Amino acid sequence: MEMTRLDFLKKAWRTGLVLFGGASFEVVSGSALLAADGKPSGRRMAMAIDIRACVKDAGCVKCISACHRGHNVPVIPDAKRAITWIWKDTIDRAMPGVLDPYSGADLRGANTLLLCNQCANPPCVRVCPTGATWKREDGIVMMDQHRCIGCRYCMAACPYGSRSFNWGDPRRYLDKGSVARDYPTRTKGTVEKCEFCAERVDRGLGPLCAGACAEKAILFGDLNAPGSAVRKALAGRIALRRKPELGTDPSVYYLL
Amino acid sequence: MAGNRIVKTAAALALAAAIFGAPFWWSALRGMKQKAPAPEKPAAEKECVLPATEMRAGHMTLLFQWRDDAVRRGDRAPVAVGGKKYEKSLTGSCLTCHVKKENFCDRCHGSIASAPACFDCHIDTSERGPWK
Amino acid sequence: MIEKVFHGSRRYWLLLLVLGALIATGIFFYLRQTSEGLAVTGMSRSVSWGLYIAQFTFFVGVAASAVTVVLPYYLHDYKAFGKITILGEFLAVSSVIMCLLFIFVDLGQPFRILHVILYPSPTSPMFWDTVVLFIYLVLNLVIGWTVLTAEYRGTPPPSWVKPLIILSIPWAISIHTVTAFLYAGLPGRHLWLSAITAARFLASAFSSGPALLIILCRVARRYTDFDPGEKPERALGLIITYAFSAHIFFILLEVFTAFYSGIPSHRASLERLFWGWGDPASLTPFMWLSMMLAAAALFLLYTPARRRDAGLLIASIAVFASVWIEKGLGFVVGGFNPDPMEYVPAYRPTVPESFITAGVWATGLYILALLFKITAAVRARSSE
Repeated sequence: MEMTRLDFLKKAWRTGLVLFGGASFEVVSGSALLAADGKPSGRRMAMAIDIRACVKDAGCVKCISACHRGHNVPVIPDAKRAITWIWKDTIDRAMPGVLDPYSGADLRGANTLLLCNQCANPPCVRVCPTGATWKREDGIVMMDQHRCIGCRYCMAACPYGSRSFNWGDPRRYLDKGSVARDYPTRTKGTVEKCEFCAERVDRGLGPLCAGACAEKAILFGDLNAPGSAVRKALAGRIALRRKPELGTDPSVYYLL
Repeated sequence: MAGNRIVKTAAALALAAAIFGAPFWWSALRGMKQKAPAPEKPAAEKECVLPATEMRAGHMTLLFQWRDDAVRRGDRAPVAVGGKKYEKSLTGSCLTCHVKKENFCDRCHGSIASAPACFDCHIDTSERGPWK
Repeated sequence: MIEKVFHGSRRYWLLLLVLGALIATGIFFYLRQTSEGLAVTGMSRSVSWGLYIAQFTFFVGVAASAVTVVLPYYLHDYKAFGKITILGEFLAVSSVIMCLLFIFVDLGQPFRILHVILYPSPTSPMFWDTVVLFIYLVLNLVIGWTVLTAEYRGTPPPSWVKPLIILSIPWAISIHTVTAFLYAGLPGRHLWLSAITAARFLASAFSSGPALLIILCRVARRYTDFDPGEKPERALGLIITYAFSAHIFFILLEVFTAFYSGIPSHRASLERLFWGWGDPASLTPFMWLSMMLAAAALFLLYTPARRRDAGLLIASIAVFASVWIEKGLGFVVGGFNPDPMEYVPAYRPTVPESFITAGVWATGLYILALLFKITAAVRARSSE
């Protein structure tokens, strides 16, 4: 069959798109999680936080302690320079403008959990000039402490304030005797954040925070597996995500 | 006139070589008195992940390989050598045999004044007390 | 030609001495920063970029502004700029060096800086910015030096330099556009997330850069044998008038969109910058100082009788200072305020941070002094 000029141009255009656009598009859009037919391929780790179960004990910090102890996150007294992988703040600050003054009286002024959203389309990954932060195939956004140059561009890019920088040496606030020995500390001048306990996920375990919650308010699992705990919870409830309008596609859901 | 200039130039060059080469001269002088470093070998274990000569020359390559496997590729499967399994971990594997970093790593690295940053983050299990 | 830097007046040596002392002070504080970390600065979780990156942004503009003399001279054959084109290029050289130094001192792990080249990341504007800035530095150094060497020998410049000069024109635009893209593509930072950020940057660059060039011409006229004359200054004055008007216009456009739309997140940063929300540590007084300087400059610039002599010098200083505050501090810090959790922590540069910044400035001025010295000496000789 003879190829018309138009066919040729169409073909050339598509080839060009694949050659030059394809590779970078995959990085930018996070479409690696979808196969060519648009169906999910592989896993996408996600978390669902049951807001109402979490607010039952306002003073509870079990998940935060478990995470921060397990990952040697220092307690820095100066809040402006604090390192936080998972922390608590009001729902109104987590999702500005979502709460109105009338509905859900029990949630007004209440705290919820905040952590890295493990976005499917992470702006931090897009801007990193060295590939020190990147997204794994299972959707977890990682930090390579060996690679990070400490430019803090990812902190400017993250619309959730989920990244912390080591302004000084974090070991000043840790003790050699009581650190978790199976996890490294960090050093001054690099950025760090929650990694969904990737080191545990690789061993078939769930995150430390989920395991520490007595209320079972933190669910963890594969968003692409219809039978997973996260998917089941999402199917029966209404869930919110932080700033969905920014197109980052967070993997952390807040169950109402 | 011309001769004077040559002398001056030569003197300036010699002075520059003395100043800018100072670290080299200093090390050369100091090195003459120095003995070869003797890192402490593990008492119980006789075998490492690779033969000693290869570890001596290429331990950093192996460590980088493990690092990239575990952190970047999510491949944390243990390495099996001669029926023994090693986790891809500096603290979790290397330091279980070479228990004191001070008596092993630091001996060689100290003698050649090379200070890798591994233990700025990784934990030397032989240490106790607060960090400075 | 380079030997010219070793023969100078007492004043010249004194200048180098003072700048050298400032550089040494900067290095002293930088060593403290390397040992204690960026904790010695006023930056925080929320305001994670401060004076260093803001000054970097400002000086990319100064570097790009060389195009305001290069373009009229080479594309429109505007002869009056012949005398100052090289000055513009050398100003670009020292500005780019300052930019690279500002990036360097801002890094938490400066010894890993080559990771940017070792692991190139084409999706990152910072990677591209490093690349285009470095090439721009080489371009201007080669062009300026070659043209000056030709002048020194009394021969016309070699023909291969012309394509490089033409290339340097779009390249200047590109460095500042890419620098704007550092900011303009970040979701959730509404002060930066604007399609006119690059246009704003270019307008402020093409006003603050020529303003600095006028100030430098005045210094040259007063203290050296080299007098660029009045004509190029007048032309620069006109360029400043247009570019600075565009700069102010663009700011007003941002204000309109933010406030007429009423979208809280779009309003917040501008409100915080200009009203301060009752926080005495906010940048509000500086922002209003910048606006008052802008008003004074526009008043002088729009009266042709005042757009000369002392009036032009005062207007240039006002323009430079106004943009320096607005872009070299307000724009970057303002983008972080409020932060993603809607907190509004204040940012103030600390003493070490300020001295390190001064050290980078002194380094730029030192290089500029040497390059201008060579230029002035060559010019003085060729005019004999």
